[in-house]
Amino acid sequence: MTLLHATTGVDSLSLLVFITIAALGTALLLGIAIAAFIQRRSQSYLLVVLAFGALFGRSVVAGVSMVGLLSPATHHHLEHGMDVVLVAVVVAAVYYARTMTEQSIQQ
Amino acid sequence: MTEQRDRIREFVAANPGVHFNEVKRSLDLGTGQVQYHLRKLERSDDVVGKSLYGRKHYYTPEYGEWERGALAVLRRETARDILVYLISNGPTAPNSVAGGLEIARSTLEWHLNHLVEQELVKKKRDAQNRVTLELLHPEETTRMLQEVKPSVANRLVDRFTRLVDGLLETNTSDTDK
Repeated sequence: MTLLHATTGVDSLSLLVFITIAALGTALLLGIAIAAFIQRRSQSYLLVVLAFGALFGRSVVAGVSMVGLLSPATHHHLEHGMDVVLVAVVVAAVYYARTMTEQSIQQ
Repeated sequence: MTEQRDRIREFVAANPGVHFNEVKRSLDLGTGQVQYHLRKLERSDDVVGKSLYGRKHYYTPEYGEWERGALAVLRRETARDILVYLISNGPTAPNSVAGGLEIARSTLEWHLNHLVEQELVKKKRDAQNRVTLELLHPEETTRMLQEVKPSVANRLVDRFTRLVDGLLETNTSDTDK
């Protein structure tokens, strides 16, 4: 708790609430995505897991920075790096879904 | 029989086809504890286990082989939707089922594989090799649909795959396999 107050007081409390809700929500989504991947075992679902993993990673980075373990510069780098991963992975998932359909039609 | 073992047996009797994690979660017991009691119950023939699609499902012994497979598949919401569609519309072509339920063709095929494997649905081909989906045991299927309901966790995963399949589906309105 003392670590929290060390940042910006009241503001950090609402930030903490947001980060916690986001982390819980993305953790739930990540869990569902992993369960779906275990069922389907396809490349597209693996990429969906990675995308939600990146989304969850953002919350983790935010949480870790809040308690002062990361400098603001590293924090931004990591967070926006995660965005790049997220976008790349979703684009790849869409692309693979298309190639898989083509393959199954050709068969 | 111990108190916990009785609880587990009663839970399995009330929820035929439950899988291991559901027993653990619903009764709030540890993995080792559930494993131990289920093994004992299996050995004394009070409970029968059946492994399907990477999961072990549990039943009381009064269910036959076909019923066991069917009950496991009926715990998936989309599989249920497909069966209900076929009950109310009679034999239907796969594309019409996917269209009627607004699900992606890949979602339908995935569930259909299991429904065919567990002998709930038959793929009938006509002279032009066009497929019609037909229920194999309409009355028993209707009865068993009432007996089991999917759990919340099951529903969430099922709806998630429907959404993702729908998003990833390409609109090459495809040929009937």
